[in-house]
This record gives sequence, structure tokens and C-alpha cells, in this order.
Amino acid sequence: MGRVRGDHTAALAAEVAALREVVLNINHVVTQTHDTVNQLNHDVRSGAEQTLPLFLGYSERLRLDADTAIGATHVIERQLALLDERLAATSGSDPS
Amino acid sequence: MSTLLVDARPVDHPTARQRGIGRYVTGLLTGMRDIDAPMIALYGTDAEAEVLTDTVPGLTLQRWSPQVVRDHAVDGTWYIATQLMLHPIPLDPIPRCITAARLPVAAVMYDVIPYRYPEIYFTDPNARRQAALRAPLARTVDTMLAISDFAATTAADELAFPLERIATIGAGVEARFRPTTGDPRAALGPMLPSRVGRYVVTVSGSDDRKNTDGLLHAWTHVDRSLGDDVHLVVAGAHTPDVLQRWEGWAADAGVADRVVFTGALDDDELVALLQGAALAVMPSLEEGFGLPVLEAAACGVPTISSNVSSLAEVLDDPVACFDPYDPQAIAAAIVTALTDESHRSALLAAGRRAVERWTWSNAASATVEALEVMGPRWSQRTRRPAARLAVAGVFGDGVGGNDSGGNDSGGNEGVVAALRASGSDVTALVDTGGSAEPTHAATHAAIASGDRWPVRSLARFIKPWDFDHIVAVLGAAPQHLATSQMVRTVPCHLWIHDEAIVGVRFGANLQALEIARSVIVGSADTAELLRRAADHSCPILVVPPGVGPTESADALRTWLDDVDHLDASTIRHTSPPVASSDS
Repeated sequence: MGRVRGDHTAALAAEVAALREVVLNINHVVTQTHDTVNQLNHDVRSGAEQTLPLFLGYSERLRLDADTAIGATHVIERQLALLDERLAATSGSDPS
Repeated sequence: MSTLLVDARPVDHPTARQRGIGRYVTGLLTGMRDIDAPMIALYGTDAEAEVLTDTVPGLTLQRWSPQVVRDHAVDGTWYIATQLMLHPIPLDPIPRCITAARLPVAAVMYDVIPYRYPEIYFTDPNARRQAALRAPLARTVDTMLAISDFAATTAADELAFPLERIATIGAGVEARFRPTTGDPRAALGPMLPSRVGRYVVTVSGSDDRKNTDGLLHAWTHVDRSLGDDVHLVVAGAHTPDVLQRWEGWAADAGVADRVVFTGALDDDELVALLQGAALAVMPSLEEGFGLPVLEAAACGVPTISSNVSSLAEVLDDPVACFDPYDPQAIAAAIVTALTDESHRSALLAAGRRAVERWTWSNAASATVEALEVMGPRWSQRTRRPAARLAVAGVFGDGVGGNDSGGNDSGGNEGVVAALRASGSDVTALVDTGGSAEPTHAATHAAIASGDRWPVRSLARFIKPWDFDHIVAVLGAAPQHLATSQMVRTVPCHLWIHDEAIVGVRFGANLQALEIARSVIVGSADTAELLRRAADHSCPILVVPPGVGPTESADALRTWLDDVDHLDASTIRHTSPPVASSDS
């Protein structure tokens, strides 16, 4: 079993922080995407009957993608918290 | 063991309620109540609370909130995740406050059937992606509570989860499934044609794994000498294409006159159908548990099932099992069970043993015992998470270079920064009104670190009960559009910065005042105006103009600590003092 050096711990902490920032940005992008799809949905319903089925398919796919992306951030957030805990245990400090 | 925090939300979930997961959660809660387990059922909505009160009276119920978790964040407390396998993941199977408290998590494992048959269940790319996400999430839990040994071993294989951390807790059967001395046919009405005499019943879905095709094939081998009135009754709602296929196949095989498809039926009809049957047959190829087998046995009907997957575990007697892949074997098992009285007695005895073994009380006891024996997977330090706040409003320069909502306190970002600097866990709910400006770009400079979401994500991607308090900062600028919509449905602390909004625009937003937890305004005059305008009074805090962000944050934090204990008529003034203290 290898040992974890102090610089490894610092590097991992930086990775955790970078991943957290990615999570935060996904949260915003996804919600914005969801809003945009909703708006487009209203627009298309009011003016483009022929392409409606195709558009509805795309919009539903985008909605599900948004859900999935948020699910990914949930998973990443929990993994980050547990990783924080192990880093703290390794370095003997309190986790953030 | 201190407390079991059980996620009870699936009992009223739009898709889970009528499915196995909703019923399973109800049953497990019933068992925990019956064995007097130290358990709290956590619900998210009033509708869920109503369902729980009606179906499992006597439960200890609490609404999801960080405070509930905080109150029980001590060593020995477990969180039981009941919707880990429910699609989709954003249902929030392990809420953030559970992770923040470092509570050990035990997840109920129903089955991994979709993972074992991806060519059937994961044809949609999104379903594949969600499944790929669920596996790593599952690997973060401390323990799994499998409903059968088969579910345990297959989950260990498919999710790469250590088998020694999985306990089998089983399942139970609802009390309504019991023998009757009356005439169950009377309750079925026209569901069964008059030509039907004795009947063999199977409860099935449209999935191929239910093996209804195999049973129909087997039925052709069942000799007509048993009697022309002996029928096979296939119970359950089936998709039109599947039903058409089965009916066509039965006609081609010459057994259409001896097969009945009931279509959808309610619980009372299902119980009556089982009670009146001569035999119940469950030929499924794969289940997580096989509840229909137990339900039939509980109704006092001789029951036989396939000998694969979890089904063999339910009756746990070889005399009651058959090879589901062999129609001749299924037919032979049916004929013997219908004609051999000693064999029927053996089947009834096997059924009685199963009903005694598989109870919700036993499932609850097995849960408690498993958690006590296994303990947490990792040596985490349980902690009381800090109060979690959300501040909703305009941040930074606002979209289009406008103001930040008339906030004299240095902007919302200043207040959030001050709150965070003092150790509070604050989420920024960013409002860009109707602008197409990406919220992450608009706010990046203002609140470059820390949790932030768009206001519109509340209730969809993040839940109001994730927060102890939500402070909605309202001004007159158009950028407050999303915030002003949100406060009509989510109880918030309304921080009204623009005095004009009270008289000019807020008159149309009285609904927000009626559900508000408190109101924060800039002057005593505005406080009095609001007191007269709103039907429902709530505590009011006055933070006059000129108070800096640090002082505003201090006043807000103190206010939020106190507000739930204040009288609704309270008006508190923040320094610089205006006239009086709490009234």
C-alpha cells in the first residue's frame, strides 16, 4: 500500500475544487437549457405545425439530457464530499 | 442504533406509487412501525404526508428539511434510501444534507433487471446514461438492503458493489391478501365470463420476462379432459400490441376459448380473483422478489412458480417450482396441482410457510439487525451540517448593466459574501429575469465561488426543503421576474428593497405575502403598510438604508435564527435604531 504525500493531498484538493466549479457551471447551463427549450416549445406550438412532432422529439430529448446532467452533478457532488472526507482523514485536517 | 431516517417520498411519486417501489416503501414503513423501530418517515409534500397518514397510521412523520437531519446527526443514525433504483436520478435519492451530515446510507435494492437486459431496457440513450450514473452513486452507499438473495448477488455483479455489504431483508404482503369464506366471484362481476368454472390465474405484465408466452404455450399441453370450463386467466393491464399478439396466438393454438385476459383491475378485484382461483401460476423468468407469488399464497390458493431468479426463494420448496423454459414442464406442474389432492395440500403448506416467513415485520427486523451488525462502511465523522440558506435575486451588475435590485446594502453578492465569510452555507439563486444572458456568465464575476443556481431551478433541479431558509430579495427591476414568480409558491423570507414595490407592484403579489415566513423592509412606514395590506401577518424585520453588507448579513442571520420563535406581530428594527425593539 502506497503512502500519500502532502503534495499529493494538495493536488487532489485542487482537483476537487476544480470539479466543484464544473458542477456549479453545469447547474446553470442545464437550467438555462431547460428554460430555452420551454420557450422554444411555446414558440413552435404557436407557429410551425408541420415541424411540431420533430421538434417535440428534440425538446423531450433535451429535457431528459438536462435531467441526466443534473443527475451527474448529484453523483459528482456526493463523490466529492466522500473524497473530501478521505483526504481529511489522510492529512489529519478537517474536511471543507 | 439511534434513528432510522427513511425516505418515504416514493409513496406518492407519480410513477412509483402504483408500482412495486411505492408499495414496498409503504410495507417497510408498516413493518418498522409494528416492531417499534426508532424510525422517522421523511416526506416532501402534503400529498405524501396524507398518503402516509392514511395507509400507515401511527408513523412518526417529518417533512424533509436540513433541520431534521441536523437533529439526528449523531453516531448510530442511518439514512435509508428507498428510491436509488427509481428513474430518473434527479429524484434525489440521497439528498445533499444526508451527505453533508456524513450519515451512513443504506439503499434498498429492488433489482438490477435493466442492467442485466440492456438490449431491452436501455434502448434509449438517456436511459443508458442514467444507468451509467446510478452505478457510481450506488457504490457510494454503505450498505444495500436487497429484497432477495437473487437481487443481492446480481446487484453485486452488475454494480460492482461488495456482496458482503449487502443484506437480504425480503418483503411482505399487504393484509388485504387473505383467504375468504365468502364468494369472491361476486366481486368480479363481468370480468370473468359465465363459461369460466375453475380457473388457473397468473398475474402478469407485458414484459417478455414475465413469460406469459411460455405459459400460453404450456396451456396447449393441458388436457381438455380436465373440463371445458377450466380456464387460464391472465390478470393485469397489457399494452394493446402485446394483448393482440397473445389473443392471436391463443386463437391459432386453439385455446382461445379457454383463456381470459382481464385487463386492468384494482386491488380489490385482484384479491377476489386470487381468492377464487383453483391455482396460481407465476412463470416469470426474472423478478427482484416475486410479490405476486406471495400474494396468491396469502389468499389461500395453491401456488406454483418458476424455479429461477428470486422466485424459487419465495415459496422455498421444490415441490412448488417448475422449469419456466419448458412448456411441457409447466403444463405438467399445472395438471398435477389441479388434480392431485395431496400435492395441493403440500402446495398450501408451502404457501402458509412463505406467508409466515415473508412479513413486513420480518423485513423491518432484518433491516435493523443488518445495520447493527454491519455498521458504517467507512469511518466517517458524523456532523451537524451548518444551516443552509438560499438568497434569491439579482447578482453582480444585473443583466444589461442595471442595478442589483435597489439594494443599498452593497448588493446581494455583498450580503452573500458576508454570510459565507461568517461560516454560513449559502446558495445563490440567481435571477436574470427574462434575459437570455447565461446565468453562470452573468454571475461568475460576482460570486465566483460557492453554490449557485438559477432561480428557476428551484423545485425542479433543487428542492425547497434542501434549505433551512430561502431569502427572496425583491426590487422593482424586471430582472426580479423569476424571483417574484417563485415567492408565490415557495414560502420565503421576502426582502423588499424597493419601497415603491410595496404599493405599486406588490399589491398584485399578495399571495407571496400570505405564505411568506417573514418580511424584511427598509422603513417602519413600509412595515406598517405591509401589516395593513397582507391578510396573513408574519414577523417583519426593518433594515434601514445605509446598513452595510456585513451588518445586513449579521442582522439577517440573527433574524433567521430567531424568526421561527417570534410572534407573527413582531416588528424588529435593526440599527441604526428607529423607534422601538421587538413589540
